[in-house]
Amino acid sequence: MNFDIMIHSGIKVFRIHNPRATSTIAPEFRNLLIEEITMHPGAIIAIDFSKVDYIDSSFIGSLVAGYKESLKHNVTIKVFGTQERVESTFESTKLYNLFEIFKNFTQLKKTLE
Amino acid sequence: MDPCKVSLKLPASARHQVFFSETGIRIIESFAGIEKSAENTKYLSDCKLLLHELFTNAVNHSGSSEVEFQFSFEEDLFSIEMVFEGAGFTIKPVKEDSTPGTVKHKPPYKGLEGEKFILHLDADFEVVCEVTGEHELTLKNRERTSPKAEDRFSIPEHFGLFIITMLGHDVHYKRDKEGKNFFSLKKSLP
Repeated sequence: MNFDIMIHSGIKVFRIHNPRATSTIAPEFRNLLIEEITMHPGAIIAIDFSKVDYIDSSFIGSLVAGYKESLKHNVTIKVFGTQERVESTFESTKLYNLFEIFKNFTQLKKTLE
Repeated sequence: MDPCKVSLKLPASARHQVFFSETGIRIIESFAGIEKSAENTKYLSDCKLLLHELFTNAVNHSGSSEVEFQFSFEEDLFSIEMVFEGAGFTIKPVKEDSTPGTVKHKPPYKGLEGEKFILHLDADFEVVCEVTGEHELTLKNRERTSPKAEDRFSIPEHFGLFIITMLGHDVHYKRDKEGKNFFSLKKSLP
């Protein structure tokens, strides 16, 4: 299983279980994320990257596709748990302009209180 | 360090992605004499991402069944040349708002010599492609030259090319008379 979705403290958490977030799983991620966004307008979706140690441009493209869809449905996407290497790619590709990125879920949750 | 070359030829298939990235990193470590250390972690991580993006492009866009990589090592840099069959590099410019455009240019780039196209645009940077001949072009990552769009609506495309041109330099593409494609770049050693 590459992904699952659970509710944690009232927040929808999209967990990525595969340590390699690459082109192999990017299309599945994109479809699931867009499905969640369109089914839950106005929701907050937190994406858990804590198990991911590698991300490529295809997966970034899927995240961006999700972001585009989120604008149409007033959905807020937040990201947490990024490891050093993933964080470095996020910084290089300016993804922090599109998503709020948190060290962990606790920190993310605090911003919603 | 004595100049040397290493070649690696493999099927252009996604299932060889990890093998290529891991082997490519071992080649760079070994032939450039880069030791695994805290200071080199970021550099090697960047190299791995660069190799990954090159291979992904070959698999997803070349239409070639095989791809060959030639690594060349010099005093203070290494270069990678990717050789593949197929239709070649298609120029797909993005619009001013960073969304995909509708225009596409496949080689030969007749009448386009000297023209520049923006292939990736974000809040700060752009990837510019300059057609330098009927069968060749260069790619550069530079600071954005047009006014910034409102960030929220400026959502970039073509992250692969952005990563390749950000992590490598002197990025060049050419196609020879036999229809073989050569995509090359250089990277300074740490």
